Amino acid sequence: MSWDEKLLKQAKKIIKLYPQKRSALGTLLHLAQSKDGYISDDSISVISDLVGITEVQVKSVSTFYSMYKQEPTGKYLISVCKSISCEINNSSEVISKVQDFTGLNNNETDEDGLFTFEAVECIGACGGAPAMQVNYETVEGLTGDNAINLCNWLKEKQPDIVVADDMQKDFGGVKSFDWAITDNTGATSNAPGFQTLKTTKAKK
Amino acid sequence: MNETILLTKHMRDNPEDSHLIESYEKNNGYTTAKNTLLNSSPENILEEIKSSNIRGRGGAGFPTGVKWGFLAEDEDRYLVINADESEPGTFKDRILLERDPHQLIEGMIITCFSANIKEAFIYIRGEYAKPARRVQQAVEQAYEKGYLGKNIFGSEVDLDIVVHLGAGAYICGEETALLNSLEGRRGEPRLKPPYFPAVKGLYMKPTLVNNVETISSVPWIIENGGEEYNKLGVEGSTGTRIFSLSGHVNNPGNYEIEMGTSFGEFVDTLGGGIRNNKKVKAYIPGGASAPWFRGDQLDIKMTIDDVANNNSMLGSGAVVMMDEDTNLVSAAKSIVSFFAHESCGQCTPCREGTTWLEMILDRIASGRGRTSDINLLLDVCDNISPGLTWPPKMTTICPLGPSAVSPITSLMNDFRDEVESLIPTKVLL
Repeated sequence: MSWDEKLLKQAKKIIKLYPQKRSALGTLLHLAQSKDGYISDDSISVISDLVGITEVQVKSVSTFYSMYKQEPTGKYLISVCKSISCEINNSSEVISKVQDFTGLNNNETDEDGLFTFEAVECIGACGGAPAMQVNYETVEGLTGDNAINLCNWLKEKQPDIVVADDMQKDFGGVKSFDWAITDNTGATSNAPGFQTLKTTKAKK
Repeated sequence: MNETILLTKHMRDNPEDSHLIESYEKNNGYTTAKNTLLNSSPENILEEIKSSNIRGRGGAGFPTGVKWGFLAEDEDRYLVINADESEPGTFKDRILLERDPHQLIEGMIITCFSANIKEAFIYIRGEYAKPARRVQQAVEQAYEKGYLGKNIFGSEVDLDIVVHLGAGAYICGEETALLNSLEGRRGEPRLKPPYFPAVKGLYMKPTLVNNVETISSVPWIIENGGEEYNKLGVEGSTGTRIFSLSGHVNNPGNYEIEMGTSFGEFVDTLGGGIRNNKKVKAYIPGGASAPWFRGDQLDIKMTIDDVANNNSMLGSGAVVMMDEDTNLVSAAKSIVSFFAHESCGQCTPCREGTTWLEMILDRIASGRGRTSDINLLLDVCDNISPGLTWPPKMTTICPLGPSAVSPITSLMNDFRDEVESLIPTKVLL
């Protein structure tokens, strides 16, 4: 097994949260995503042992959900929304500008492993359309140019923690609602930043 | 018109720290739960919920008191909060999770007391990382204070809450798909029967599945009484509701209002009107699954029954305004693409049909449509939902497939000229 002791300990802690082991599967797959940037065969094998189901069962679940990536994903996962409220507020411009900047088609990762681009379905930021997420941290009220500026900033600064407030302040516009609460926590990988996964940190 | 502020009161009064337990308690937070556990009975709470006549805020509008009343007897019963908010146009649960997570937890404590439940889950969509962090932090704070865990508030009541992240599947908002997902399976809706998770739900045990907004309403209802809640709004749509307004409006956002005013008044007042003084060509009254209304139908009242009587649904409370310049074929294509992407693939009419609809609309939108495409669209729709009626007839396990039909029937009934104008006429050489 190639998950180190620390990760295995965390996995076992996650399993204990649930009445039945298999319920932890989704969370363990997020953990695997945060470890390698995708769901590796190795992780599938480890998780299958931990949960007590076959590797095929793990794989069949991991391929159902769009957030579990089947191939290595860049340090920054750029997900631009294309659902109805964004669509009628010109998300196509944001999509094409981000694609031009990164040189990526949908679901592609660049050679440096810096960016993965995807056009995604509704991210619940419809009042701040068009919107996108970087490692599942939301930026609202974008323009095509600001989306490029944001990508450029990511490329130059390469922050280890992606914080929504930072991105919104410099590159965002209209918001779905007043965020009100100042927040300097963010995501540390291209899995969602969440305490149980230890994929979130506060920026100093 | 004005808003009526119940659910969003604490976050408005304390914008900077409404997510923290200290702030919530300073404003009498958790006193209703405490009084309930120490001085009330499960039966009393159920009666208050029933007399409030609150209906579920997730989309289907099922009476909450009736749902709770269904819950079968069993040693193990569960509460699952459906926070998989993914209906395009909807962002009202997001604000409740991000800015007032303790209100939800307090609602859960009261709900679990009433239903004798000791274990609860909050299933939050994976893309809502920030809201999930806030909720997790709130759950941890509540444990520290002894408001969760064993002997809550010194009573005999125990309750554990686990915050669970989804992983990007709209279909998991369907309650049986959500339960499968929470069991560590593919998020595929379950065959019915069993019809109700309240009888056979998580691990085939009796399970209440309720929306975030519904359970966030519970503390107010219990504090003020079901009768008081019932006085708000109109018969059949009592209380307040948070509507998510988006599209071509001046002031998009979440608005908490009593149901019963017209869409037009809502948009013109709180929404600040349509941008650049344009006219509304069409609008979506209740999320992407809902059939559209025309711009000349803005006088329809925002109640569950009025919208249903006009052959659509109030759904998740997501109102999307599309102005006179909107390309409705592209808009419909966006919605159909959504359903094609989110189809779980179990049922052939949905899996194949939504993909066909997407392909045909794409062809028409890009100016390569054929004259036969209009009948083909309707034919595929008819295969998914025979007769194209509302409410839709089903050939599938869940309503996702028929939802993809909604925008197309709207287009064909009300905007057929616009579709036809995009199809090139024959050029004779």
